[in-house]
Amino acid sequence: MDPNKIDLIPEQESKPEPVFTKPEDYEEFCRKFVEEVGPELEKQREARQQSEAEAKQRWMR
Amino acid sequence: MIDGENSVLPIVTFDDKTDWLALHRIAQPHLERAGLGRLVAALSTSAKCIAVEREYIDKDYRDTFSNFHSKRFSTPRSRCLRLHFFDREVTRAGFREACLDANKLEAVNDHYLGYSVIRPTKPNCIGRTLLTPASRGPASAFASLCSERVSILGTELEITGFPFISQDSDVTVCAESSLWMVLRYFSNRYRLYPETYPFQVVNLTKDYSLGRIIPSSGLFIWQMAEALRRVGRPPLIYSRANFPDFDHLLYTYIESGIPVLVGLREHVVVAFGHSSNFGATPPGAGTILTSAYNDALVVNDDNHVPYQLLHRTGAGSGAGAQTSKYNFKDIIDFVAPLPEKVFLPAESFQTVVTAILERSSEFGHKALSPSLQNGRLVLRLFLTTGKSFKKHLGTRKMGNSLVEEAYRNLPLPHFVWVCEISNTDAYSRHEVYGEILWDATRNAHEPNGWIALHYPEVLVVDMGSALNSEQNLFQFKLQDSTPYPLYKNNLQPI
Repeated sequence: MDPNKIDLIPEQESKPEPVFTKPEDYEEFCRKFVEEVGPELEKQREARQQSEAEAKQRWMR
Repeated sequence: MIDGENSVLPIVTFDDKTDWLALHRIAQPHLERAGLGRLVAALSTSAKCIAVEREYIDKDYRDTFSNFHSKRFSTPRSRCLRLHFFDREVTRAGFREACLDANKLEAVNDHYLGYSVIRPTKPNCIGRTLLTPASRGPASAFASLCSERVSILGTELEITGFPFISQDSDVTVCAESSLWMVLRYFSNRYRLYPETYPFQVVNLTKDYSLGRIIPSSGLFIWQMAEALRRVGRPPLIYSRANFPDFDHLLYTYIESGIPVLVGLREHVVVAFGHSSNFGATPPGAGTILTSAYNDALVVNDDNHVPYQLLHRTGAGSGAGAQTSKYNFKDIIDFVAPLPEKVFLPAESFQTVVTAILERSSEFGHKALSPSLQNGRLVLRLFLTTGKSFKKHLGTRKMGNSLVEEAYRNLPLPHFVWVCEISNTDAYSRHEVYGEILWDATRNAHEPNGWIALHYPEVLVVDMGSALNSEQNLFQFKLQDSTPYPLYKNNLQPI
C-alpha cells in the first residue's frame, strides 16, 4: 500500500505534508546522520566487548 | 497474645506481653537468631500480627531439598514455616468471614504486608519472601513490582512487591539468589516466563561451568548473563570502566522497568527501583538527563533485608538496616536482562536520539520548536511496549488531541524507546512537552529507526515503517499544545 495514500487520522481536515519533497534531500539527511553517529556507536561496540571480556574474570560469591 | 499456639496456624499479636521473642519461640526449630534479626530489621515498624503457617511445603526449598539436602547423611527437615505479616490484629474468624464476604476480604488484604518462608537451613533461614514495600516504611521511590496470590486458611490474599530470598550457602550463594529474584519477578509479572526454582537456576549455568556446580562457590558475571539468556532474557553487560555514562545507563534500564544484576566487589545485588529528587535542579547549564536527579537505587541484597536504598554517595558501615553499605562508586558492572525483541541498547538510543534532537538541522528542537528554547531542556529515556504506550494515551492526552489520535492509529513495534522532552520547570511538575519514539527492534546504524517526533509545534511521523516500507516522513503542524503528564507505567511509587 502506498504510504502517501494512507490517512493516519481518518476524516482529518488538515492533511500532513511530506517532510522531504526531493529524494536527494532525504538521502543527504541519512548520510549526515550515519556519519555523525558512526564513531560513537563504534566506541560503544568496543566498550561492550571490553565489558564482556572483563565479565569472565568477575567472580560473585 | 498468641491464638492457637499449638495449632497448625498460631497467630501472634504483639502486645505488652508478646513480642518478636514470642515468635522466635514458637517458630522453632526453623527460625534461628540471625533470621529473626533480619525480620525485625525489615518489619519492626510495620508488623503488628504474624500468622505462623506450620508444616508449609515450599516449592523453592523442596527443589533444593530434593536435589541436594536429601542426599546428605544429616538431612534437614523437608518442610518449612511460612510467616504472614499484618499491620493490625487478624483472627481466625476474620479469615473465615473473608472467604465469604468481598468487603471483609478487602479489609484483611489491606492490612496484609506479605510473607516470608523460613527454611530449616543454616546459617540463613530466610527463604522465598514477598513483602509489600510499605512494610519498610516510606521510601519516596519508584520500583518494578509484581503480584502473587497467597492462601491462608482458605482465604486468598494478594500481595505486591519484589521477590526476595537469602542464600542457603549450599546450593545458592549471592549469585544464584540474585538470579532467582530477577527470574521470579519475570515469571510473576509476565506469563511468557516459566517459574524457575533454585536448583534449576544452578542448572542454567551447567553448560558454562568447569567441574561441579553444587555446592555452589559462586558464579562469574558472564555465567549469570548466560543463565538469563537461556530463559529468554538475553542480557547486556556494562562495566563502569568502559562506559562513561555508566550510572545513567543503569538508571535508564531501571526506569524502563527492567531489574538489573548489579555487580559489586565479589557480591551481586538486584536493583529494581530508584529514589530521585525532582525538586532540585542538577548543576550546570546544559541539557539534563533525568538520571541526574537520581539519589539512590532500590535494591534487594540477599545478605540483608528487602528494599534497601543504595545511595549515590555516603552510606557506608553503620547505616541503618534499610540503607545499603554500598554507594554508586562501589558498582563495578551490571547485567541488564533485556526482552528478546529489544535489539537497540540504551547507549545507542541515547546517541541516535540526541543526534536528531540536539544537532539535526532538519529535526532538532532548535530548528522546529521555538517554545522549547525557554528554559533548560530535560530528557527522560526509557523503554516500553507499544501496547502500553498506547494504553495510556487517553489519560495523558499528549498535549494535543491530534497527537493523541495520531499515536492511537499509528502501528507501533512491540518495544519502543521513548525520549520524553521537558524543561526544568515542567519536569518538576512531572510534565513533558513532547517525545521521540524510536523502534527498539532496529539496528543503531539505521538512520530511519525513529517512528515519531513530537514538539509542541509539530508532529513528524514515519508512515513508511508503519506500513513495513521505506521511511516516509510526514509532518502535522500543531497549535495550542500544552504540557502533559509523563509516562508512568514502568515503575510504581513505593
